[in-house]
Amino acid sequence: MAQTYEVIESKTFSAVTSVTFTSIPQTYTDLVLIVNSLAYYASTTYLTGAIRVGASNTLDTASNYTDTMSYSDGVTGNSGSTRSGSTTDFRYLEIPATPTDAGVRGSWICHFLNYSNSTTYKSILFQTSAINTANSTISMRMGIGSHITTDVINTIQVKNNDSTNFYSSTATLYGIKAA
Amino acid sequence: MSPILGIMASQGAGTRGSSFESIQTITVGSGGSSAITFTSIPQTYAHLQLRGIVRTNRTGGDDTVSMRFNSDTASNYADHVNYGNGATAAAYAETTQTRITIFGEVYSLTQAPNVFAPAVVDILDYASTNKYKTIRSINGAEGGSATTATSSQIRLHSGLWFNSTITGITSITIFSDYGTLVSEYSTIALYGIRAA
Repeated sequence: MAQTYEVIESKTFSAVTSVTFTSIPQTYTDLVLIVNSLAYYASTTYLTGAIRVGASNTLDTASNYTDTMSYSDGVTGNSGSTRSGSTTDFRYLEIPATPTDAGVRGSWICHFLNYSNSTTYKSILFQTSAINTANSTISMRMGIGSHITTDVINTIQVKNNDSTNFYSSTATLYGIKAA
Repeated sequence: MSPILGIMASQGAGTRGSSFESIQTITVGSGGSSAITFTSIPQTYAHLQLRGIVRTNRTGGDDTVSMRFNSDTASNYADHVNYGNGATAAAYAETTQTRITIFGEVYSLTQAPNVFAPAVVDILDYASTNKYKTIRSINGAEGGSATTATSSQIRLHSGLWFNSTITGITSITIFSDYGTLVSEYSTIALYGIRAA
């Protein structure tokens, strides 16, 4: 049987603020992006992660993104939801931050549904989990984003929006091919 | 890695060749369709996963899209929902339902025409003949400036099918709860996940 769920590309990255997948084949039905990330930062326990997409190997930097996120912090039982509209990226992902590499990593699972059609706006569903060894204020999140264009997606960028470098992080992009 | 749950299984499936397999994809054509129905589902997988985007023809307000198993229209379903609408997070439960909602927020025709609601739905141990069936759906709707904040939602659903006659799931019917048609360009793919 032909492979349905395939690795497109894996990246391991450090000392950069972003990593970008380009020339994503248009031959799959959905994409799944798995990110395992950390940033070195002493002043807070988490930083803001984001995703930007584009077509023709060019990232869309215009205000064509909206996303809604719900979260729980797992310590006090606090939960809530927030939304941003007309922004320049999907911006409710989370990167754990520690002064050194304490083995902490945050996980993102991001689904890009029907990324290669030219009829609909493109949707992303994501779940993130970030926790540090002190079990402090970082959280688990689920969210949805919409890229407000009918452009196909052939470029995906994983970003640290706090302009701090990622360290010892990985990102793997999978393609799912429907019959 | 042994495939156990759909999304996690998906992470490892890429290196396992045939452990995550496409069964069928249905795309709604011009004029819409009253339902998206998968029939004759093989009983040879450990779990199923549905992935897709939908929109419906409801005009009076936002819609929801649900599913039934094996054409069972009786009150044999229940679900729990956790959601955030951009302002607050909340939860609720529904008992003795006639369907399980898997797309909890689908925009009406009055909103931006290119906005479709996405979902990834895991149906666990679907072929069992001695257990009620459970599902999980992450879904929502987000549509940009044409939508209000509170109609943008991210949702996590769990569902139960507790028909007293326990059988494997051989068919899945997906339909609009408040409209009459699932709209053109809606598409849902059904995958099977094999265990070792």
